[in-house]
Amino acid sequence: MNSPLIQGFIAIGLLLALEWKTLKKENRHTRWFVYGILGTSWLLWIYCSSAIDVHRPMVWLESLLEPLILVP
Amino acid sequence: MERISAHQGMLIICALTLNSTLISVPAQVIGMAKQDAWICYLIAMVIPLSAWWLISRILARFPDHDLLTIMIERYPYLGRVFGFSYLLFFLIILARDIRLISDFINIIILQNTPIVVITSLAVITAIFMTRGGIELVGRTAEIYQSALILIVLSLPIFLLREFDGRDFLPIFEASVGDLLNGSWYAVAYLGEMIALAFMVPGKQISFRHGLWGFFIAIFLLEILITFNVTVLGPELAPRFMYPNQEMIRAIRITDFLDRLDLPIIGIWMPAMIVKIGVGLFLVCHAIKQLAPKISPKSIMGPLGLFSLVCSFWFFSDAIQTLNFNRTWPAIALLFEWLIPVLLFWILKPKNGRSVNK
Repeated sequence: MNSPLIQGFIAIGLLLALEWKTLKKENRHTRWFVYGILGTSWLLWIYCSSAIDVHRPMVWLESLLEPLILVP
Repeated sequence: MERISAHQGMLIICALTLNSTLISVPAQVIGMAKQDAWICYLIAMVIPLSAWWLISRILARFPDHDLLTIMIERYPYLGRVFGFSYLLFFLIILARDIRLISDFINIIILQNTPIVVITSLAVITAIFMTRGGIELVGRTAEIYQSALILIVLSLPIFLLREFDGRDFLPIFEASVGDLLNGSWYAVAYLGEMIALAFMVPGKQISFRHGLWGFFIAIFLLEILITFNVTVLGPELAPRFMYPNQEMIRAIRITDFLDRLDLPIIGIWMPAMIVKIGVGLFLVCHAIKQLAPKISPKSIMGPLGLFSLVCSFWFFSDAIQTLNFNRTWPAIALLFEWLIPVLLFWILKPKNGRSVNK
């Protein structure tokens, strides 16, 4: 239960179960977009939960902007 | 077509400006300008005000459209590049807000509850609210933002006993540099008011109502920072991560009403979820504008989940969200001021007339 893999599966499974009725009526663009977003979220969740050194976009952004910031 | 009233628009602008600014920013502003921190908001508000005026002028030229639609319709390629950049910008703000509220509740109220549970509950509430459309978000703002405004307005009465005017002295001691440094921390948060222009057509929001919402938020922030200084002291206030929470903990009305911080947080929390709902709606609306074949209603749940994951991916902990306030204005000023200035010059109506006339 504590595995991020299972946590992700449960969250996405629940969301798909709740959205399934609406999703069936939608066009294929919307359906594929939803699958893509859910898949990306699942992969990111697994990465954030299991990687030892997570590469965070905001840390990268901070280091990139650091030379421009004059505030102490 | 969904509509919000001018009054609701005003409250949404107030929510966008106030609700996340009052969490940690006051500590950083007081840390820079000490007892003169109240001046920092007055300096910082110049930039969002000028951006709002420029955006209002653009919206007046195209009253039937929001800013995203105007950009994409006038310049399909460049507009989409700008639109996508704004989508990323608002996604970062959404993820940051989700992280801010989750960390706050996890640190202050529910220490033993896993943070992911707190985050999920906040995001699920925001998803259900947003699925009802901008009208529902507007109506929710009418309830909770009004309540938050009343609560902050009543704080001086509750805190009068703790008020120590000597903490303000010596007045005007901070240098211009200190004041500008303090304003730097506040400017990006105050500038988030422009978000409303990206999701609501120009005829639904007026410059005047936006201004009122913004001024109410600034007035409330001034009340809070003044009492931060006078109740906690200019030396102690910057050492707290959540100075406003520490300040409302000082409220003691009677023996049995000594935990008044909990009901106050209980009113702020839904108001903050309204802000998250606005952010989620905006991200969905931006996707709809960039890819018109995608139905925005069906993607709100998955996008809510995606922003939840992003809030954990973007920020490692509460300290990083706090430190990020130092560099964030460099990016935020680009989106909240520089691009609106550019758009003001680029989005001139053809033949000098409104597109709709």
